[in-house]
Amino acid sequence: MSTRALRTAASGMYAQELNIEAISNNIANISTTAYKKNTAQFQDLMYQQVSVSPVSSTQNTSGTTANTLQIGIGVQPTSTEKIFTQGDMTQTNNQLDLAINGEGFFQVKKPDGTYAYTRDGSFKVDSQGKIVTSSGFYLDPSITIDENTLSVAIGSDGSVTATKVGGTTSVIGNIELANFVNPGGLTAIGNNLYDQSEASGTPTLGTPSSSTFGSINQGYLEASNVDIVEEMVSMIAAQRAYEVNSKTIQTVEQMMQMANNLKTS
Amino acid sequence: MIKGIYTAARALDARMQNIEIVANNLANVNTPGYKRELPFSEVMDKYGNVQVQQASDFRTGELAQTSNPLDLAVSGNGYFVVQNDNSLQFTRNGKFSISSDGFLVNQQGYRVIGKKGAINIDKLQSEEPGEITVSNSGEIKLGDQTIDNLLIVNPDNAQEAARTSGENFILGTNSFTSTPETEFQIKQGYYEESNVNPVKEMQDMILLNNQYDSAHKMINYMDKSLDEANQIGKV
Repeated sequence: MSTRALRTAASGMYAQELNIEAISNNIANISTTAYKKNTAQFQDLMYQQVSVSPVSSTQNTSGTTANTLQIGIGVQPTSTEKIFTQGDMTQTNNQLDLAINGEGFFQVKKPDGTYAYTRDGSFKVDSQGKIVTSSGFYLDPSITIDENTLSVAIGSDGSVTATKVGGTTSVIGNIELANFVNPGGLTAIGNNLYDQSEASGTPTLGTPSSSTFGSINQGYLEASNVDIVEEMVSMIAAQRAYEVNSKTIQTVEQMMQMANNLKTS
Repeated sequence: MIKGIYTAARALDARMQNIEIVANNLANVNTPGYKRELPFSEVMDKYGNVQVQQASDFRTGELAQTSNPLDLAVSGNGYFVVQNDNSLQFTRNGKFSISSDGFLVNQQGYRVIGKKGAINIDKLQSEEPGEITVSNSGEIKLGDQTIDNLLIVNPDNAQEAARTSGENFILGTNSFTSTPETEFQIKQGYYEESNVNPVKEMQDMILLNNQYDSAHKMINYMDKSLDEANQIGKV
């Protein structure tokens, strides 16, 4: 008895399950700074050549072999893709809260010396006066705010100007942004950080507000770009797709039951 | 009488295979660029042999917006061409990315073909950084520099092309012509959704289920009649 339809429907249910997982992660991160929503991607599976109806009482006289057809065997999830649309700007008035308006990522150095990228600009100062992310990774190029600094002003081009005790001001560093050909292909590694990947391409560094790079806004944070209505709609769609695949299983099961009852007595 | 049972059994078999096609459509209800397959029908040729007619529904799915510059959709006629080893395949799934060696590839890693061959974007990336833009006519630009034009084709007989995974169709012996620029527009930042309509599929499923039921009842009746025929002559 053919169970291909059952397995096809099961693959559809599994794909929708992953879809729901991506949606629930988006909803869980609705208040995460600079969180970018994920969408699950699907692809159809291979096709099988099936010969039609071996049950026949008539002989095939002309000898044609055209009686095969292609039957697909379901769907597979391929990847999850980040959607990098701009999140809303929320004002915080904290001088080390930075938001990127437009394209680009802050570059941070991980403890192992490699770089990661983030749009979460809620920076802090560590015990040595260096600017770090909320998870403790250094901003790169690194900027040190010494103890005599009263306040820092960060321009939209990323220049960091410190006002020292006594009223003198000086530029103590420039924040650079990294951009990617395909930001959607970046790998999310948690802590609001991304790693470059094969799909994203290599980063291009540049000054904020120049060419394609976005501007830096001091005293603002970028909110998550998750739209709750959109997620609810996707959730309904995923649930219904799951349901319709379960209906396939029910229908095929009924047909199998009928086949089992062909011989009644 | 015996022949009738075979005919009905054949109906059972065909309905089961058709349900498999409906199941595959429903499993791919959210797959970008997926084209619905119609449940096949059987026709009799002039020699009295049963032939199968299988068809795909090539209607355009809805275009969904994303923020990925490498999501492309063909609005209108035509297909993207991708290369798997040496064979060409065509697809409406325009979810592309850049491979590690700088080629524009589809989700399976097959290279996307432009008018000058495989499209390489990375080489120029180091010399002149800039955004990738794709115009309505399929011209791919990096910053101000034109890299290539997407090859958009129309197979001469799309219905005869075999399907393969990744929403691709194999050209095989099929010839194709490139689509005139007036017949399509490339939409950057969009992808084409699956054209499966679950309502239609459920309708097909109910219909097939009922036909299966009828064929099943036919066999039962014929079985009963044969049984009664066997009783004739019994004392």
